[in-house]
Amino acid sequence: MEKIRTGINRLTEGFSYLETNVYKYRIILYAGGLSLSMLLPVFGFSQYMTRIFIMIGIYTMLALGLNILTGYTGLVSLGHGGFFAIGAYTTAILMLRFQMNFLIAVMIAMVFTGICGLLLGLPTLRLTGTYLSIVTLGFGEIVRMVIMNFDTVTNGTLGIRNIPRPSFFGFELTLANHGLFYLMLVLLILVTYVCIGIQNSNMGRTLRAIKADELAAVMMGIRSSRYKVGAFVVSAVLTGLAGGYYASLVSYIDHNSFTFDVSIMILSIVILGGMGTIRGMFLGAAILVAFPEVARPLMEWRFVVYGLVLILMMRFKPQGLLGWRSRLPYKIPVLKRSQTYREEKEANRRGR
Amino acid sequence: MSLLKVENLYTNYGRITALKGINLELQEGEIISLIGANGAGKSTLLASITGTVPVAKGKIIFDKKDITHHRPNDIVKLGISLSMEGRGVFPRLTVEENLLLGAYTRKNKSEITTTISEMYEMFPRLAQRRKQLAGTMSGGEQQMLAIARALMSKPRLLLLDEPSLGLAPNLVKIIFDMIKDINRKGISILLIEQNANMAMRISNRSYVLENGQVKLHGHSKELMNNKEVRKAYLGEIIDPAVSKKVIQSLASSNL
Repeated sequence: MEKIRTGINRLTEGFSYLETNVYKYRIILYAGGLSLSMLLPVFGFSQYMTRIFIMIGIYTMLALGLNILTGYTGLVSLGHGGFFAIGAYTTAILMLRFQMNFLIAVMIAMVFTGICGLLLGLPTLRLTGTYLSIVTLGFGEIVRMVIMNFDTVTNGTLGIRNIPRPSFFGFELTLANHGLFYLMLVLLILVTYVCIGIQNSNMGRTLRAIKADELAAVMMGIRSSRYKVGAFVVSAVLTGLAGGYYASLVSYIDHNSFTFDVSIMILSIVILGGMGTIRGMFLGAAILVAFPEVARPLMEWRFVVYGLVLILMMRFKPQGLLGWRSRLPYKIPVLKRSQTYREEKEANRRGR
Repeated sequence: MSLLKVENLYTNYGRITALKGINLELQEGEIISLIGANGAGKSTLLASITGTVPVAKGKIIFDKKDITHHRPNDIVKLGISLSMEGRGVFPRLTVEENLLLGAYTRKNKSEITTTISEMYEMFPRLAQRRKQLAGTMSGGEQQMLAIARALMSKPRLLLLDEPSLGLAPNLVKIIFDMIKDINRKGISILLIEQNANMAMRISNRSYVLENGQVKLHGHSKELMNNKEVRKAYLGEIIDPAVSKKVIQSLASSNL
């Protein structure tokens, strides 16, 4: 028993050692990661691999969007698949029916998703916790139902085909010429930049205060309702951007691309990576998107591994893989009593 | 000139009436203490003044302005600041970030930085810990932070809800000395306390609340000599016969 305990302690120490070092050299790590991802196409990966990397990028964007709502403000949304769908469908329809450029279409889609975020944020102001989650879950499903039944605009269950790839000045970006990959990289950097800006601004601080203690925040003179709706809108806009890019990437979307699983996946990334951090979203997305691909040989054992990972997470990093650093690793106290108890027993036996 | 005037105030929680016609007046520069048992309505009164709980009937007048139905953020802007019960600091934010949030209603950045350095002067312990997460500090330090944060909005009236809650006796003394210092700088204070003895000692006047009504009020020194108050709130043993019984039963219970 004691061996296990010291083993666990050593593991925890190792973890915090790793953490501090990662923190120390973070600039080198970030620069290295960025340049490595810029050079990825040079390694000559197959289209399959490039696609996986792009999906990781998309889910990172989605997670960064949800992170503003869940990580900073503490509102758990289970309906971000809905915003994702709205962004994707708006972009697709604008590009196909109105022959708009990708950039313009995406921008309009972002504005439209933002308005939807406002419309969802306003009536749910008084809700927190589970109640809000249920309402957002309902929102995600409503979006799907609307897509399925609004035939004239969304083409119903048949979905939208032949969505054009983004093109700039007559140059079409595809998977083969790595244009789509670099576009993802640019968008991802943009989204990350926005998130860092929000995190370090007054708004980020205010959102974190609302998450910690809304009443206390109100007592500081903060109008929490405005900030909550604001967080909803910003989060929806970023999700809409990812949706627009996704539509153009896969060139075919229907209601089944935006099921409840997508919302859950986004939330899982935020929780696994570490709520309220930006770096965590990258790691979380990389793990959760890549894992099913890597673990194909495991097949039906995949979910057992999921469970195991979950248990290990709860024990070692309940705040997420890259969540806030625990300054002092908690040590399970090695019970001294057992020793004295044994000595006493020994003494008793001798006395007898 | 009275700074704060509460007239015949009624506040309900659903069907339960928590305040039943409170009248209270606070002059500029005064310290007033509110004492009373649990559930007497002390915290509800503060919540009504700060606008977090809707008022059913009556008026609250601050600096000649009727603020009865104002929003909490507008009330903070007018110059009323509350340091909450149980401290209410933001645990995952640093000390400095907590203070910055306290100055949320003010826009001038250079003025805010001067106020922050004033706070560090007043509470040197906070200066040492400015980059530390507030949740990792001791209870006394968190209480100091809560008071400092409430002062960041440059209030004219500071409402303190149980500043001594859960603190060691020597810390309680330090906190009360600080409250007196703050008052000397010209900030009026409305103080809620369970520790009635300390509260009455530093305040000019006191109000005794019972079941949502003001039962007694007057100068603290006079109230401290009031027989009822001594018995109910200052823990004085009035009847020696009863006290003997209590002591005997305690002794026999082997505690």
